[in-house]
Amino acid sequence: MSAATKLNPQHPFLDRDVILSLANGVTETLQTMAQTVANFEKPFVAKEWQTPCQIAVFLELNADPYHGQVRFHFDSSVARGIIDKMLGPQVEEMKMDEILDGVGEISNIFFGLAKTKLNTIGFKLNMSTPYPCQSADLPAIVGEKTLLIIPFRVEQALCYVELILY
Amino acid sequence: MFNSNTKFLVVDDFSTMRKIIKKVLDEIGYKNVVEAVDGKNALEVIAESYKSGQPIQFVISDWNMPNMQGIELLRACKDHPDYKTLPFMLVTAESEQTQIIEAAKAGVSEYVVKPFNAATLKAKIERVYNKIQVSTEKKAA
Repeated sequence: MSAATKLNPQHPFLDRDVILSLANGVTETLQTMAQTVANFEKPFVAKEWQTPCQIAVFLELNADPYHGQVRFHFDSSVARGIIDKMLGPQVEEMKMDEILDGVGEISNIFFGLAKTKLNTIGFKLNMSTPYPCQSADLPAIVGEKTLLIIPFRVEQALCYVELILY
Repeated sequence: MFNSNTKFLVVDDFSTMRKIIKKVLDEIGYKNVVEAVDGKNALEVIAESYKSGQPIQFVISDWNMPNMQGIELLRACKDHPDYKTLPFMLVTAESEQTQIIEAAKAGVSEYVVKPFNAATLKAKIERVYNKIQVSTEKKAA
């Protein structure tokens, strides 16, 4: 985290409604689909940040002329726990592609909810299909960018919503 | 409710959502469920099921999918003489008014917004059944 980091106040993704919609999307989805409580913590701004999680889902945002990316970062044990709760206990050990499929779908729902809420208040937002991957495989963002990190806790483990503005 | 042997087709590009819907259908009592990964694949599965003499009787499809989206699959079914009366439920993470209207115009039987729970899905299937009953009674009268 950098105290000196400033966000472009004109950037439309830097908005209370955007942040609240993303947080509410996560909370509502986990509660309804997995009977799991997510507790959000204080967001922070950074120029550089390295996720401590193992699983991620990213999607591109576009509200011309502004661009960005949303990344959902999951602790692998949290991801497994959420999928277990959605599907019922699995007989066999979950494979990585099954975990990625599960977090991809759940992130799709997070963002679908957020997008619907934002569009109803006049915030026109285009998004790409969510792409789940292992954190090590996340694409690098080249050039000037600002990060808004919103941590949330699921059963003691920290997960994150990362909003990348560029 | 529909007969417990009713053959469902669940269409979604994410296997997790297909498993969730199958699990809910199983809990409700529907065990005869087949899957497809997108709209194009779903059309193939529907065609095969008709050829085999065990046709799909209810489609539950995601909206946003690669190759062929759920709304396109719905339109393709409505345009086909054999499939046009097939009950069709769309499941989507977006619930904008324009999308709901688009689905209604295309002839969707019901529309489920994610996130949903088992009770919601069950209630929506019951609504489709009731609509079919009312429509059948009207035709008979």
